[in-house]
Amino acid sequence: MMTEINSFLAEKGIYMLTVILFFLGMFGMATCGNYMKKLMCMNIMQIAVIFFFLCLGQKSGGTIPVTISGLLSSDDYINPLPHALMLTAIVVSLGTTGLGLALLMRVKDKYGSIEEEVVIKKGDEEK
Amino acid sequence: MMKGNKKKVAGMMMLVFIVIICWGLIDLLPTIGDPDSAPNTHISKVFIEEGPEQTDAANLVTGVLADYRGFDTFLETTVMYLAGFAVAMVLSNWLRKHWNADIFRATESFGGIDVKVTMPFIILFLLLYAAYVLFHGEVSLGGGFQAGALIALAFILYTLIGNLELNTVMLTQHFAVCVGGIGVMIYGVTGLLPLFYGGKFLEYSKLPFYVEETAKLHSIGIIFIETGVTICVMATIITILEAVLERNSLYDDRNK
Repeated sequence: MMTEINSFLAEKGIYMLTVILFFLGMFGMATCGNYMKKLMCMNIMQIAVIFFFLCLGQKSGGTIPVTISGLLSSDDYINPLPHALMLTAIVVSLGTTGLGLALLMRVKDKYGSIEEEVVIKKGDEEK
Repeated sequence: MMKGNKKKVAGMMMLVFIVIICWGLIDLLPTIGDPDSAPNTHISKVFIEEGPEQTDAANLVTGVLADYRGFDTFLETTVMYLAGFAVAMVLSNWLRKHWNADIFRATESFGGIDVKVTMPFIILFLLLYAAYVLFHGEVSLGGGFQAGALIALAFILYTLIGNLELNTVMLTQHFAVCVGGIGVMIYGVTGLLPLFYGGKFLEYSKLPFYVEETAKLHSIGIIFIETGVTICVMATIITILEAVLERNSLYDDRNK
């Protein structure tokens, strides 16, 4: 029984962790009343997706994807494709986070707060 | 009362989602480390087996990023640049007269003689390391995005310390946006050059440089676009930092 659980966790367990991390971020985005916290939760969600893709690139017995002379078989290196994709995704997430921060500063300018309740209340008053 | 309920409902929903997804999808997903799983076969094998010869980049990730998927990376770089541009637009200074901001820079209290003496060394070594990471992007671990982040890190350190008499990396916000555009332009021009010599967009083997082997042209092309990416990422991070710092006030609610 224990060996079965162990092998299951070794083979598939990491997917569960990424799913939990993803929905942790989603939960935060749904419940937090503060826009700054919402932004941080969105980042957590993004990181879960990045982890998920990196899991797919793993290969047992493979080394890092930098060619070593003498090793030519494709089984010797881990999959470089998810790494290349996620490298750009990480950098772009930095850009989007920066843009989100900028928008938050404008919200703070206009409504004097980044708490959701206050912003909605002030928006209703303006109508 | 309402808020507590909302949290409970959302938490339950998330739990249900987690269980459904784990239950339903876990069998479809490939085993970790399986060399014969779908993501590790097909095109990935071609990248690994033929990549080093075709792209002349020992680092397979750089080969995929800058050569096979060069067009994708081009647009990612553009997205990065647009993010910086949008931050500069959103936080442009037409509102600043209402804000009455004093530009926040760390003052002497954070500095001190030790920091002032050691920081220039750390910044210089960071820049050196960034250059190493950039130019080793294709032969060992490294690449344009990381090098750009490192240079920006040097800038952030410089900004944090403040009042340093060291003018290695000084970029104001508006200038930084222009520099980011130049980075994207280097990438674009490298892509356009082969068009004039009978190639396709980003077809490095048609670049107009004389080398003995055609494969070496790929290294030249990759170095060029990595430089463009480095400049763009560095400038974007600096733009965001400058734009946010410019409006940051030491007193939180002073405009009330």
